[in-house]
Formats: sequence, structure tokens, C-alpha cells
Amino acid sequence: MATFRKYAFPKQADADKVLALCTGTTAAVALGVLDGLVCYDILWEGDAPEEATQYETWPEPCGVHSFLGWDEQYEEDYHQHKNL
Amino acid sequence: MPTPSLILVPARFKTGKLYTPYATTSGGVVLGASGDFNVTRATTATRVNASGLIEVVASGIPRLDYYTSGGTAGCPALLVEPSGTNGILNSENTATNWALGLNLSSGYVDVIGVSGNNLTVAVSGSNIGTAAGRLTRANNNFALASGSTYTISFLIKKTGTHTIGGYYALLTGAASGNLGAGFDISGSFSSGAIYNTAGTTNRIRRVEEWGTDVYRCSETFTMTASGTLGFLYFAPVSGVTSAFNPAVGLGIAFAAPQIELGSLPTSFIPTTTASATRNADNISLSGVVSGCIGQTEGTIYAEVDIQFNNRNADIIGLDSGSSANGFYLTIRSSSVIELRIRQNSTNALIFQRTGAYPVGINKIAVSYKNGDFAISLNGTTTQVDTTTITMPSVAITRASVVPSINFTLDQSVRVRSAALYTTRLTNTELAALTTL
Repeated sequence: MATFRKYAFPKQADADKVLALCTGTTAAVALGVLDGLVCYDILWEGDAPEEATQYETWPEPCGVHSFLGWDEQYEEDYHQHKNL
Repeated sequence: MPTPSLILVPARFKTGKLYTPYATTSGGVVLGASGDFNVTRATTATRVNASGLIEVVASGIPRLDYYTSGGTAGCPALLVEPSGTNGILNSENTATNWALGLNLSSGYVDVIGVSGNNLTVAVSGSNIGTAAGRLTRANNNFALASGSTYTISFLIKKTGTHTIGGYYALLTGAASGNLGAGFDISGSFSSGAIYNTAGTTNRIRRVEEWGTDVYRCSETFTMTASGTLGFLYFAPVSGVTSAFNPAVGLGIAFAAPQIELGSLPTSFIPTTTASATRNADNISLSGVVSGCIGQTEGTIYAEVDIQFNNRNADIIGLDSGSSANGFYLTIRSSSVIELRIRQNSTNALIFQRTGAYPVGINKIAVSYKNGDFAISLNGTTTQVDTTTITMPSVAITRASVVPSINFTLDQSVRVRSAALYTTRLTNTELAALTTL
């Protein structure tokens, strides 16, 4: 099962470390610099790696970008995250 | 004619699987379900269905696409595409969050399954260059990088007698300026620049028929400076290079607007209030399929629909699990067919057929046997290469359909069928196999 996560990195170098974890059919989409942070959406092939968790960001569904068919899942994860 | 070891005719599937109708090893073992291809695409995507309508296909489902050149729904083919992101917002319905100019009236119209907006000029004298004469989607905020190539595409439907429509994009940033073009769908398919910004170069426009009175219009351009596409406008226009509207009462419909990175339009990516990405299609089978692959000699056959013939693409790949060793049927940007053999991470053979292949449906076969290589296209005389090379010496264990291995796929490829043989077919057999 794939996992959709949004990330905001202080520097491109931080993003590059996480992007290096993208293997197989994992898809990363660069969103550019938003509010001073380097932003990416990543659809991981399986679970999101723990190393990337610190950079997760949770804009209101679905922010400026989504993967086709993942809006509902992101919204569900968003509410779950807010309730933590 | 020898019996193929594997036949792939895209017809039956389930999530994550494309059933192989026939797969038998050279030892006569029938593979059954273990011979079915794995399909990976973690997003939904669109296809043209048997009725000629664009529809969404669920994640992991291979896309049996019925589009054929000219827009008439035909035989299904396996649609394989690279990933793509559509930066135009509310593309799935150009009435939602799109602002209608005061001099226009509009109405819903179905454009081969996509919600379209039929624009009618209610007051003459306005034009696409002014707010009153155009349909507007603001705040797309799609970043355009200097040096990168992008393609804008959209569907036009002829709802009356008028046949010319245009788009106009407002760019900001270093590439600040106006970019726009008109498209005449009357049959002459002429197109021209309405607006030119200094921020773009190498502009190429196309019109393709996608159904009765429905046409996909597209323009590809390369950025000479970075910028952002904010506003996108549509309107009926009086000429392909003119911003001025036609007389009162004439109209035309627009649907499925899209801007994506790349030099060709791909399948429609519906969006709402955010941009959206369709993942690439990955279709391959590893392991047991090695028994269906001729390890020292063999033949690869494919029937493919290629709408743009000046691009590189691997069509069928047989390899060791990477590009280090393998046999590849490829098409090249010079519009020729190529048999590429990789051995120990080097190109042991690049054999290209002399003469371009045509746009549309092609039947292609490549055969390999050391010192006796062959390529056959559409039943024409088989061309051979008698070069002696060092052949791959490791097990060839993976078969892939339109993989991005030697070349990154940058267009939509439709595979109607494929087959493998464990022998090098004779030239006569190759010609017979590929006869249209």
C-alpha cells in the first residue's frame, strides 16, 4: 500500500537526503518554495520512511497539489494527524 | 511459423495484473497465473473507453485505451505513459471556479466525458485580450523553469458553425508576458500564435481529432526564463493569429485544460482546486518469464500505436533486471526502429533499421542470434545485421512493456499486442508476422 505525505524542508540539501530514499515506483513532485520552505509531495511505494517524518507538513486537504485518487486518503490522514 | 513462447494481448486484467493469454517455457511448462504481468501505478488515471469517452481508471488497473487516430474508438490497446502533473486548476469542469466574461454566455456541454463550457459571444467587439471576452481561471500558479519544455493542451468541441478557439496564458516572473495561440478545427487544422512572450521559444502547435466534432489542441514551448503561469483564458477567436472575437452568437466549447512538463500532451489529468499528478505505468514480469525468453537467440514482436514518431522509447525490454544485460526493441528520435543489446553494462549492438516508421499503428519484430540480427517492420523486407558481438552471458529474467530503461518515456504509447519467440525467426517469417 502506497503512502502519500507532504514535506517542507528548510534547505534543498535536506530534501535531497529524503529524495535519495525514493526507490522503485515512489514518486516525488517538487512544489517549489512555499513560505520559505522547499516543498515536495511524495507518494511512497510503501510506508513513509521514519527519516522523513520530521519534515512532514499537514496543510488543509489537499494543499496545492495531490496525486490522482489520493484526496480522500490524505484528508483521512490529515484528520488523524490533527487528533494526535 | 514457430509457436510463440509468450503472447500478450491486452484484454483481461485485475488490480495489479495484466493477464497473459499464453506463456510457455521452452521446456513446455505452461506458466498460467505466474506468467501474468505485474502492473504498478499508485494513482488513478484516465483512458478513452469503448464508447470514445474519457473516464477514470482506478489505481493499479492497466489502462485498456480505445483511442485511435481520428478519434473513432477502435480496438483496445495497453496505454503506457510517463508520470505527469497538470498545473491547471479545476480542469475537470471549466464552469467551476472559472470566471465568465461579461460579453460571453455559457452552458454545460459534455466533451467526450469531460464537463465542458460552451462559450457564446453575446456582445460583439470584445476579445480574448480583455476580461469581458474570455473564460478565466485565475491563480493556477504553475511554476515554469527556464530551459524546461511544457505542453498546454485542451479539448475544443464544435457546437455550432464556428471553428476557431484560442487560449491565452498570463506569465509572471522573469518570463513575464502573454502567451497564446489560436486553433482552427475546421479540417485545415491551422494554428498560429496570438500572443508571444519573450520568455518562450520553440513553439509547436497541434490539432488532433478525438471524436465527433471534438479536437485536442496543444502547444509545446520551451522557457527561456523562469516564470509562473497565473491566469489562463479561453475564448472563441476570429482567426488563429487574432485576438478579436467573432460576430455575436457564434460559440465553441472548451474542456480538459492541462499544462504539463514535457514536449507532448499526455492523457487528461483531472484537477479540482489543486494541481494533480498521475504516476507512470509500470508493467513487467520477472523470474519465471525467463523460460519464455530466448537466452541466446530469440524474437521480440510488438504491435504498437505511436502518435509521435520522433521520440525515443523502449517498447519491449528483456533483461537481467537492470539495463546491464538485455535485448531491447526500441524506437528512436530519428524515427527508426532499433535492436539494442546490452552486455556487461555496455551497448554490444545498436542495430537500426534504415528508413523511418510511420505515425500510427506499426507491427515490429526484432530477432537476435549472434552474427544474425534482424528487424522487420510492417511486412517490408527484413533488414539484417551480421555483426558478431559478445552476447549477454547472464540469465535474462525480466520482460517489460514500454519501460523507461534505456530511454525515459516522454509520450503515450499504446501496445495492441506483443509476443516472444525463443528462436530467431527466418526473414520470411518475420515479414509474415509483421504484415499489416
